[in-house]
Amino acid sequence: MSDNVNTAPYDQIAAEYYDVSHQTSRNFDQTSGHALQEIRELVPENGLVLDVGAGRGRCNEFLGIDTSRVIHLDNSREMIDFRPREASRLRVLHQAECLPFLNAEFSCVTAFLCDPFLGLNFLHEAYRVLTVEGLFVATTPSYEWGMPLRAALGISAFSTRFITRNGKVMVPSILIPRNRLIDMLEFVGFSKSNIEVSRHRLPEHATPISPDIKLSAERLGCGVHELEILYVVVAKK
Amino acid sequence: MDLLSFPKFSSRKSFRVKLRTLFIVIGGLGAFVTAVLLEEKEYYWAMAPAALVLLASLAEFVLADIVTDKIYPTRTEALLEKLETNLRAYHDRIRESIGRAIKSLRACDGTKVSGTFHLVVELYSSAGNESERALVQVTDYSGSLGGNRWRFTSATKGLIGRCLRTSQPEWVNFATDEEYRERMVREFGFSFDEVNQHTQEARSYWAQPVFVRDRLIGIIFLFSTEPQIFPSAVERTSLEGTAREIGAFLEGARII
Repeated sequence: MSDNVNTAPYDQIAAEYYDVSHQTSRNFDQTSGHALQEIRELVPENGLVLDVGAGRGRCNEFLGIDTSRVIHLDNSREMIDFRPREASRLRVLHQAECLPFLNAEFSCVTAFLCDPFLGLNFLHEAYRVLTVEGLFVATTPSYEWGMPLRAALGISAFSTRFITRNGKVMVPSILIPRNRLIDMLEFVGFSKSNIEVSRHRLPEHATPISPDIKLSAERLGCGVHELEILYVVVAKK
Repeated sequence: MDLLSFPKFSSRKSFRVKLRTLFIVIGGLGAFVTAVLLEEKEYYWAMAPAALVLLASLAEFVLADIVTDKIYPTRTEALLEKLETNLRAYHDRIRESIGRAIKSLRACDGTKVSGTFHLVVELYSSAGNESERALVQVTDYSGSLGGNRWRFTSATKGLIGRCLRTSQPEWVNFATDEEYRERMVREFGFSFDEVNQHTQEARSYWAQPVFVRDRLIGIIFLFSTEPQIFPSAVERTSLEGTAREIGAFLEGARII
């Protein structure tokens, strides 16, 4: 079995991924920042932290984690090389579905907007590399937001599109309903009582609001601040 | 030598019938035109269609069998005839076994999984003196996707070819259909033309070897349109049980 790291979909969008012009991503950042405030106190104070799909790194930004504890991992060379970035102990270019670490190496695994690689294999790996009592924190776009949008745009359930300066780029994006996500976390080993998948809305102060959020809200017949666009996953081993 | 140009099983007969029909039509037209020209006493011009009748007869009675044997080696043809006959009583049972294997997968949507069984065969050249190991898909797919049976795959190609070479379960996942196309060519031995004929909606694949008396005789091939199903969703003892069941069916069918 082999996994290719030579060409990654996000290599095509890395240069502008963090631009303010990508309003959907910025709206997710705003929602994540707001939602993850409550999670900060749950993060273990010691031990290594693995940030999967790290991009420029956001563990300090979202969870206040000391960057000297953090290892960044991403399968996109362009994303993991992006500057400016949060400091880290180490950067690793590798797939998320098959982590290059031994069992029980990390007291915390984070994965912000992990939809490009969310699935049984990644969750299994996240569980495997966590120490006992270790914490898994992830965010991902909600199924309720994403599916009506994809239906409206006529794109597959397992991909999304970025409109870049050079045109449209399709990248993988796996949307999973909340209950199914909980089942998957339980299946890979987390105890059901230690799993929480909360739903979050765009904060009232968030601006500008992405057309992709407006379109979904319109199709569902609700306001943009009533639609739950983000899942936050917290699971303890 | 590319033995894998052998087309679908039932095409040998249909190919021969089509070839015969073609020569009969050409010969018939030639004879008609010859008769008309002779009627008109155009003896010189009648030689051309008469020659066509002669050539069509030569092609049908001499060349057609040579061409057919070259494209459809008789030894391989005999193997496939035996397979189809012997499998007739067991085909649905093997499909049901694979259906149960799909249901045994955990934490995934089984409706998005399809599966089939490939048998290990030796393909022979028309001269009968060279052979290569290959796999032939002998059952229709369980599930909503997948191609027709009686397709051949070389031992050098695909995930099933890899499983045949290693005799171990093999799996692979693709994040996008672009990655699928690139890796199928670079890593799994297909040409771009061949890949374009594949089902490309699947994202996660599994190949399970089937042994009978320690001999690898076939491969169960599963794929899902959901990403990252394999290997995590597999309950290995259940799939190994399915493999043993299929091996027993093949013994009962006297195919191995």
